[in-house]
Amino acid sequence: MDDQNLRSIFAEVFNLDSQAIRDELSPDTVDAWDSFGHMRLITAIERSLNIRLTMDEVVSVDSYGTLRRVVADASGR
Amino acid sequence: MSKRNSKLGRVLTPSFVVSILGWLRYGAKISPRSEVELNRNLIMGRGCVISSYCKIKAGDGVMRFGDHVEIATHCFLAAGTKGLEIGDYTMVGPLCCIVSSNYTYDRLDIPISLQPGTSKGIRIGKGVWIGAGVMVADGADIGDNVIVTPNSVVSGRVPANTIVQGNPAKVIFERR
Repeated sequence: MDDQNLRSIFAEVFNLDSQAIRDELSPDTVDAWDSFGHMRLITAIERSLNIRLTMDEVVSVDSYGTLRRVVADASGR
Repeated sequence: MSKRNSKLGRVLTPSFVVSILGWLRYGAKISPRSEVELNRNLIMGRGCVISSYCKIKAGDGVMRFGDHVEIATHCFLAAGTKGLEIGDYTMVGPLCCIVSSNYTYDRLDIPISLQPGTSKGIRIGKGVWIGAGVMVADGADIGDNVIVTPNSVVSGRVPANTIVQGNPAKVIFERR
């Protein structure tokens, strides 16, 4: 899985500069990352990368870092 | 029953009588503060709930509720000629508007209110959760287990097991 791809999807969904994306970004630090934003993010990632996350994985994502790990796991399945 | 008698019956029937009849016929809890037309076009399953200040109008077409449908306060539901169907265990949040009829507006020389009406019908599946302030327009077809987020507008087909948001409502998540 290409991290640049994930970074650009994340930046597009939350309207961020992709250079400013760090592993520490979380719903507490990104204004648009509320519950609806979370669902939009997951759907955008699943559609773009053609993967499917489990519900446990969806709810475990609490930062960009965990998102990266979860997506990497799902891409390897 | 003629249309005039039906209208008279609607005006003259005290709302607590409608509540009692709803309980006896369908096991429904219909608030006496709601306005529900209990006529042959309204078909209810068991155990439905109609909260206060709702208006349920089934004069022009069939309105069919499944079992345990819950309509929260201040909703307006009206069935056009092609009907309105709501599946079992569906919840409709407060301040929703679900109307299965429409006006045509292709003449500029006639007020819209005097132009002919149309109806495609509305179908809402089972286990749907419709958030507060949602508008479901004529022609909507909402699949089972859908969640419609508050203040959305639904006018087309919504696939089952999804969460939709916005105007027009679009899929933002697939439930799993």
